[in-house]
Amino acid sequence: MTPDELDQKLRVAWTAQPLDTAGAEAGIRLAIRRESRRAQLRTLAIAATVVVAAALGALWFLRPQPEPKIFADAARDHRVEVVQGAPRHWRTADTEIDTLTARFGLTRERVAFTGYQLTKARICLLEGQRVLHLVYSDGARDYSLYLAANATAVPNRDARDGAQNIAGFHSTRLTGLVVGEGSPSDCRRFAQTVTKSAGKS
Amino acid sequence: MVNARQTEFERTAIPHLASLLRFASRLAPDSAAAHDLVQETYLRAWRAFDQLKTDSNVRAWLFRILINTSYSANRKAMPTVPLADLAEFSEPSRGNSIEESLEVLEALDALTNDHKQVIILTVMEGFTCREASEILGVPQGTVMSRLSRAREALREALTPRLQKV
Repeated sequence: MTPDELDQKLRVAWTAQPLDTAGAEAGIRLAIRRESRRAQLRTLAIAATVVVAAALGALWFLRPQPEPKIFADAARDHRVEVVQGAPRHWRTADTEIDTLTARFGLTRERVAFTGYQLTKARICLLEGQRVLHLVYSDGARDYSLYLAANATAVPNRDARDGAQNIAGFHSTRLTGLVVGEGSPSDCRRFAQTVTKSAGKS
Repeated sequence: MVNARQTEFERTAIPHLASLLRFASRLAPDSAAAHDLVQETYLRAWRAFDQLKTDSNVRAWLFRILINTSYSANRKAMPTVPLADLAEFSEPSRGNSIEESLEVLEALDALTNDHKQVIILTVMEGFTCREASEILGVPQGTVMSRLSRAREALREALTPRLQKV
């Protein structure tokens, strides 16, 4: 038998084999469709997981933050000492006020608020920390400005406690709170003014 | 719903089904296992279809996947789809009788798996030695030596048998 004869016999025998290509093809097409569907479901499941995770992340990020305790302390202090006028040893003379502000490295000019008069000052405690409490008045409305050393953690945030609006702030030198019955925007404006002028070294 | 990727896959891969099925039937222990092997081959090909370059030889790629699939499934080299059912064989053409075809396939099944694969790929399926070496993952020289030994073994086995038929 020559090599060509052998190859010929092999090819003929090969192609003579019984084959169920139709059945195999149907099975393959079905298997591929199932695989495609599974892949689509997998993709959908992954997308849904990502969306849910993103939504949960956003909810966590946007969850309401509890107000720091120092905000409530300042609001109560303002209410009791300024609004209700509880007796306290206030410094009202300009020289006394200047002495107190100087202890914090400040001058009267650097903590001025246009339209309001700095009327009295004292050192008080907020959350156990000594802070400079300055009271401003335009005759009809009062604001309290609390200034502390920078170590005190006061977020740059607005809050409300009863009738009092509160604006927290911090700069490179000072942290503080403005509390008053004025609008939230007035409180924030006051806080920004102080941050600009008193916050500089 | 059939998407474009699936249509393209079926257009390029399904035409080689008969060749793969014949090859699988000489690797798998029975017809069902051969169908399973081919189906698994097509599924693997489908999953990897995006990685196939446009100018690739799809047929050689499918054979390579089939061989890898048969290895990973730890299938035995022992064939075969039963040869006993003469009625299922196609009517002889170009010279072989049904008995002759059975003798040839029996002799083929008696070869070692390596020799059988080389003979099928090069003689029956028409791959070049270089293509067969890529499909099997062996050097071209190995393919040529296996082919020579396989032909010799087949000639020795078939010469006395075919004289009786």
